Amino acid sequence: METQFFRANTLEEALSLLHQYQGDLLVVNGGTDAVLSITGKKVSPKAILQVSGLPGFHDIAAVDGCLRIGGGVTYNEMLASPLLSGYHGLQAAISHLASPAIRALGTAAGNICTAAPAADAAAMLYALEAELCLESAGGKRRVALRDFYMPDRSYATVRRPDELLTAIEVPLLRDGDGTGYCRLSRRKAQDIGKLLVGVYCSFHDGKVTHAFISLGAVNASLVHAQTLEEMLIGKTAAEAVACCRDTYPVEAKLRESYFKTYKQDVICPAVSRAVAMAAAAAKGESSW
Amino acid sequence: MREPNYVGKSLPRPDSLAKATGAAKYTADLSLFRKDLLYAKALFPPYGHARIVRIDTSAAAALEGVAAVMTANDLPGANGYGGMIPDKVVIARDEVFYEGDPVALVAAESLAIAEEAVSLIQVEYEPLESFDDPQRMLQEDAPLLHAQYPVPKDGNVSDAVTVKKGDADAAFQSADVVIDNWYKTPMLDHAYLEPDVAIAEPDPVQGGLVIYSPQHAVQMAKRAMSDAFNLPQSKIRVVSQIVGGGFGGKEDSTFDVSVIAGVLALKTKRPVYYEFTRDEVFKNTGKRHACVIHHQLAADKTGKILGIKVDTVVDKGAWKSIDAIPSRTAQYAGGPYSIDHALCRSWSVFTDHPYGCAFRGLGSPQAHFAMESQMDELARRLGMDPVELRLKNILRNGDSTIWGQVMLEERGLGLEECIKRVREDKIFQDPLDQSDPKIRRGRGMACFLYGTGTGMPTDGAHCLVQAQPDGSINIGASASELGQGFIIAMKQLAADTLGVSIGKVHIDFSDSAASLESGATVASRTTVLTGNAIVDGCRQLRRRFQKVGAEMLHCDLRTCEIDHDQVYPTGCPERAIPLKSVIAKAFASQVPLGTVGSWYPPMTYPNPENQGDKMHTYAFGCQGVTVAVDTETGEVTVEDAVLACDVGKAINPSTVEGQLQGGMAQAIGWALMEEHFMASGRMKNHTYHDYLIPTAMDVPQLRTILVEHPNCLGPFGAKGVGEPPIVGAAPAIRAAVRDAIGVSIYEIPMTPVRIMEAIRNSKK
Repeated sequence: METQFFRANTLEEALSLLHQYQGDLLVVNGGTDAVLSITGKKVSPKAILQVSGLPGFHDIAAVDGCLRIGGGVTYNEMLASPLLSGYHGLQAAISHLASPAIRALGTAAGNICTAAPAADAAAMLYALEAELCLESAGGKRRVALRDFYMPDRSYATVRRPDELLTAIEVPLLRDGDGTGYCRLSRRKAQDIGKLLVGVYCSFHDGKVTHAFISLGAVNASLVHAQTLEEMLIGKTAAEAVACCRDTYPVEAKLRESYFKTYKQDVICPAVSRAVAMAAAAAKGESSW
Repeated sequence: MREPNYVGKSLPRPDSLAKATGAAKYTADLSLFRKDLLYAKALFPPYGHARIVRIDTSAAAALEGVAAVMTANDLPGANGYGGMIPDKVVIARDEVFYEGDPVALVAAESLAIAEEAVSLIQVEYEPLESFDDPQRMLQEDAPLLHAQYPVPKDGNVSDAVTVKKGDADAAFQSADVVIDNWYKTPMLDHAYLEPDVAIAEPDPVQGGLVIYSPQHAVQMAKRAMSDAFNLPQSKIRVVSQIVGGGFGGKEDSTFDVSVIAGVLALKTKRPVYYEFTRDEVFKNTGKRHACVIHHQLAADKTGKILGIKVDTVVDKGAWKSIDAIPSRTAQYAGGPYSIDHALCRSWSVFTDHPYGCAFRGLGSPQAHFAMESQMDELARRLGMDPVELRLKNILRNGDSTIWGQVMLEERGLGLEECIKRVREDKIFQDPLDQSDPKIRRGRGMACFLYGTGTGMPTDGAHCLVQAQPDGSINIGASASELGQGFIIAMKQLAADTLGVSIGKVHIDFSDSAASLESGATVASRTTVLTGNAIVDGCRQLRRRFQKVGAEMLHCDLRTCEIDHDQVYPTGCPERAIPLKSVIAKAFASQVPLGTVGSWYPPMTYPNPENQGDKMHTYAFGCQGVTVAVDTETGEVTVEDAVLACDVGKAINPSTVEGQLQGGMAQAIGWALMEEHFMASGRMKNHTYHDYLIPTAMDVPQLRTILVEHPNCLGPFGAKGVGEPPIVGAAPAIRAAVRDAIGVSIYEIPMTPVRIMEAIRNSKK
């Protein structure tokens, strides 16, 4: 069977191909995961669709009170964007992700759609309460990233086979907002994280008014540490950091693996470090 | 002797630019644009240990474009090959002993057809008991992995070596302190960039085969495979291009691909290309042997080592081929120290794992990891400075090693200087930054020695030196360019010995037809052994040209100088005539323009207790490191590293520094992250995604100190330096971690998982 290759020039063309092939088409949006799937013979699609050249796909812009990151924006483009420079947690998540070559090609949209359990960009965007814009020939819909993943399943999302992730929207940061990220891995570059923590906090009068904490690489899909978030409300930054150091995030529910005990040991320090980074960013003290 | 023009200078390697620009041709590049090649593929079992019940190759054979399908019934010769012992099967017949035993081979017009054909081969297996644990396999009642085996063996033991000196038991009885610990080191991949690859090409004129493949030993390859090909050794020519990394592994693994390409080429009478995938490199090729070491050290209260008792169990994997590890782990079990009483026993044991093979350091890193960790524990027990403890015990002139070899200053004994240089370094002088309570810093040191050469009776080197009538020089040497700087070092030695400019010297390297046996490019031996052979050949030729030159210049041959391509009477450079006119005269008067250069080290034959001289000289070194340990996450960062190494004489200092830096980087990987996980004979991590080696982010600036205590027998004083730099870093890092967090670790790699486990256990 010959595989068909397409490079779409317009969104309509791309959506039409997605509709035509349904699940037999592999979207390549950077390709750093897709190529591995193909060479590893995990997928053998009838067609491959390259979407990175679609109009507006590389745009990052403030739109309607949020920041809109185009579906083809690469990690390097995110790192270079002045609009994203205040999102310290996001910068931290991306700058330590994979290698310079991968960051030049890979995209946050691709990272989200691959739905690996240890996805750095996705973990931080999850904490940022990102909304995803999905488009198909039949229309558009918005899905919150936290509702995008199938519970307890890796590599599985609610994206329909004919849908394309065209943009990711995150809230614009206001005064008192901060983001933080902590990843633990076995080596300092080019390694899948063994534990990922994304934090998005808002402070008012020195107290936490809102918190969102995501955990990656603890279970099949990204985890929302809701109980811990609720405990942080009303606490000062120092109290919040101390609380995280002492409180095991019950939602983590670590799965069995060689690393389980290790993750149990390090999860509290990792969360508290991410919270400390977010608190510092909220005060404008972070170095990112 | 006059000052050398080239030796001791940092000259660029001729292969560097070609590699950096992509112009250099590796073996795989030879296949490009060829249209006559068949492509090989082998079927490997999804088991470690299993019986082959049935094989059906009919669908594969019927596929269009398939030129040959082979099983064990179709071989041209013996079903065995190997470096020293031909025990590795070309194709498994009834039973597979690890995941890398081929079950069937295919040659086809394209790689895609070969892959499809292999997928059509039906094999029924009966999984057999997995033999994963070498310690269990060593026990007398253990089942045999190899019920039938081509050479005599004792149970599951591939090799057993005992080094016995004095009376260790008595020494332990008189000791003030005994340090008794178990250490574990992992199975490692060499992680060379270039996958194993071979092109086998039948010789249509005289018969036989030409094998192109990246090698450590083109001459040994002929012997290793001739029975499998059913060809006389004279009809096998082996050519190695520059090698894309070997680290000892390709001494064995290149035979794995070469023998498959070879038997298919003989079967099809066509040239055959065969390259392992990375997955196959991980699962099939040789590994650094995992070791379990029980180390007991006895000392008096002043810190003087009285004796050691060391038992080392080595995971040999499924096949023997070459098995030097028991002898090396036993030899180096006492490190670079003067110890009067020793009982060191090592066993290599068969398991259903990838076969253990040479890997930079050849057992010495494992042995030194245990010994140097013991030294650190002893210092702590006695409250002594670990540096002073080492200085008190190191081998000095006239001291005898545990294998009874008397150390001689004239062969170069620079360890004391190495230790003192590292102690003066900022690692040991500057205060540690302990401002962050979560991040603890520590410093550590480890010392080592490492012999030059294999120490075996066969260890010698021979080469061809030939002058051309235009004054240029060819040197035929069978050693390989692995990236270590062999070509440039040999050019420097030859140019200075002959008195020619370095551009006149051309090294014809690693072609078995253009060279003589010179042993494998392993064991840190090439600069000294092949180098000495080249110096010998060049000296013979120089004397011939001095004689002819003296006649032309009407001077005494003893005062006939050759330098910078000119020949002149000593002190009269104005009377110089060009060397090429002397060579032309020699050529015209039937003076042979070629010589055979030879060198082999002096040796004595060890007695049954392995007492006697082994290598003729030893490189020494001292590694210092600073680490930061994140006590909350278990992350270890090597923040600074310095290696002082006594190299005798650095022929090319920049390549020597490169060896030191590369060894340290590789050792940091060994100490902190590299390990293979095996379960029921199957490798659990066989990609670079889950087999981690250090990135540039994981190593600090690697600083080097070259110490030169000349080896009177080495070329210009040199010792071997390829392997020594990997030996010290793991125990030095372990000592630094101990210094930082106050917890001893006994198993490497010291991953975050193991660090947190050790911290957790220390709190119990």
